[in-house]
Amino acid sequence: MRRANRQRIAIAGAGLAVVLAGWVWWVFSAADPTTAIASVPQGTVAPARTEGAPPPAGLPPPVDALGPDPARVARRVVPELPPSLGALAAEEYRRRARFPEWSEPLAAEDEDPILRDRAVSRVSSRGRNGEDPALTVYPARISFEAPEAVVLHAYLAVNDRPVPVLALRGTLLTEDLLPLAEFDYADDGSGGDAVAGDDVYTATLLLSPDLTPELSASYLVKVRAFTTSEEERLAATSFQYASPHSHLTGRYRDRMVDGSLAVDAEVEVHREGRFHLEATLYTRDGGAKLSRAQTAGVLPPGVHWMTLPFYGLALRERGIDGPYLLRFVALSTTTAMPNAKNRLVENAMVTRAYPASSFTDRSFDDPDLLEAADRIERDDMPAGLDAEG
Amino acid sequence: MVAKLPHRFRRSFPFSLALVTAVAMVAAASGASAAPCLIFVHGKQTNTDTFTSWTSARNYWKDGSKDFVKTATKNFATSYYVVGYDGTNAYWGTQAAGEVANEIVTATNGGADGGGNHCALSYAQGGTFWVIAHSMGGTIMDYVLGNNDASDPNFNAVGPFDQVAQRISLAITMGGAHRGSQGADAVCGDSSGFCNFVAAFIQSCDTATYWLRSADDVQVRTYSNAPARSIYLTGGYEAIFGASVCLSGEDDGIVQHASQYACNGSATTGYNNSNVCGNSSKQESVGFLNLDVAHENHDDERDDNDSDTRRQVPSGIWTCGGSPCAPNTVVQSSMTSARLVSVLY
Repeated sequence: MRRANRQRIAIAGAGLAVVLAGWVWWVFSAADPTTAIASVPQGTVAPARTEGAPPPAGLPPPVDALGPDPARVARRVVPELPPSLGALAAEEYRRRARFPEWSEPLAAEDEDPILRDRAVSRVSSRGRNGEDPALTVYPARISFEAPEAVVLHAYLAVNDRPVPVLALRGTLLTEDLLPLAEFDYADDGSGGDAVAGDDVYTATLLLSPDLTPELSASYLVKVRAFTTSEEERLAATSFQYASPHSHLTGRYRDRMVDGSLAVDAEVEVHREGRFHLEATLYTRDGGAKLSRAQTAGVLPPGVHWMTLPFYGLALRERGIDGPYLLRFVALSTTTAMPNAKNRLVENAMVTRAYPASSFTDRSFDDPDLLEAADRIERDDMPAGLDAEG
Repeated sequence: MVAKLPHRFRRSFPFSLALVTAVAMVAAASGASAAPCLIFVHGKQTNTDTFTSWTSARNYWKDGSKDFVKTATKNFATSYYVVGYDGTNAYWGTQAAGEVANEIVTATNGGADGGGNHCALSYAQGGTFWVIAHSMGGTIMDYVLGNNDASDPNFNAVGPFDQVAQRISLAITMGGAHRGSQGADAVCGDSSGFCNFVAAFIQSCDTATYWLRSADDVQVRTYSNAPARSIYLTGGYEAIFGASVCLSGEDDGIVQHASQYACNGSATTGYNNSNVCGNSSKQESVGFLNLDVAHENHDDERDDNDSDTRRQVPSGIWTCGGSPCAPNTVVQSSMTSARLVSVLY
């Protein structure tokens, strides 16, 4: 055989070997149980890079063309799903089962759950094509307790910086969109307006007794603003106006019960109904969150104690001795929706001194969560490829 | 010249293929009996049709020949039940949360939906159940699962929430309005003319819309505790021309990321796929967990119509090389949310 022919055959053979090696690698890598079970069909797997981003300079050719070089194979990252979503849920339930639903531990970096639930979201609306300025509207709080004044804010802004307004007017409506009153916003530093002339406008409303609901109502506020160039902006927000059927009297007491901290709060009930009480517990100086507890029940008119059960394990594991501060206390009348929220009480009381070691070290072992985890695990199977894939 | 496999491959490859096939058949067979029953809960409606007609509730999940239920159940190999409720009612209403809770209990008892579909195993028989909810269906599940305990603010208020929480294993929401919708804000604030799709989709500030706004006095988190069962979150980021002008950050044309991913803080904060809230920054301390995000709009999420790119989000479920993929990484180039559900069990 001539030398040239031998060279051609050698080159062709080498090329074929490379292709074959790549094919063999592809087949067997797909059958790898560590990847195949949870992977979606190979044909739909995309490269793990950010869409739209250019491929890195000097990006090597596809692995298939290079053969099973281990160093190159390692670069082929196939996004995968976990073996089973059910298994993840079961694992989560076993973790959560250490504490009861009515009392959860709070890490120092956690947001206070009571404050979180009462945070105000600002609603913004821009022009027809998304142009500035945007109109932003919001109430000072999510809920106002009758007969206190309702404080509302609104402003026009460019890049979140308030700008001058030509006119700013609001309309108060019921949940059924029945108009009740019209009012102007002002920026004069009075009636709840923090700073005069800062372009953040305020309206303070005193609702008449006939607008005071039996329990609670949501009122819609539609706001119309005109920019200095006479462009219109429209937006709406809402607030709750409530007449709760009970109030905290300000009396509290605390005790140890079965290795947990029980804090009693006295409530005066004006009208029979269902009431929900929750509170967060902090270190004495208010510097670190420790736990949250809640309770609820139906109570007749009169004075009653409601008990907040802080599960002991959370306090024991934090290892911080008492006294503790009952930082935020939130009472609601939950007889019907919307629930009527009382004003938040802050720094309600300080407990007696309890050594952290005096609290229980037992996991609560929430039976519902453990049963859910058991059931999932009995039923579970690896997720992934089906008949189509 | 025909290339031949080395002898060891000729011998081992058919064996390997047979082994893989056998394993797959066993897995498929066991899947038929052990897969969870999927219970579908639709989203907001502009009329009561899905409440009065089961066919309307079923059609919610279809677009022509495309069918979310068919894909999610692996061509109906997995048992399922389709819930229909009054999608014009407030999420907490008797005909919304109450109806959904009662129907879920019916499903877990082995009862049939309006189309005769029922779960393969009842709860008493050891069955497991996943709720698959879209849009307002997510809000309803927040309310139901967040009021299952006697210490919760609205315990069993309009239905057997405790039984629902006891019986379902988990919920998955697509485009869930957990923190309301800025589309609803626009409609109720008369500014929806600036975003026509929103106006067409939501139509009016009816009771359901009113209670799906971003204002906090109507938010589900204001009236519920952490969900008793994990709610897994996926959503869309395919903006709709015009509509997305009314929404902050990434969105699916109707619901902004802050809401689809149940974020704490302001319901109107603008997030993208890279910085949307992770599992430690949710509207409740526990119970909300991210899956991923799809290049789907609000309709695509529930009708299996747009097999498109999927991306990782912070705390997302996809792993790359054994570690969580970086947020915004493309994890699939073509996969609907229905298909995602089908590969999660």
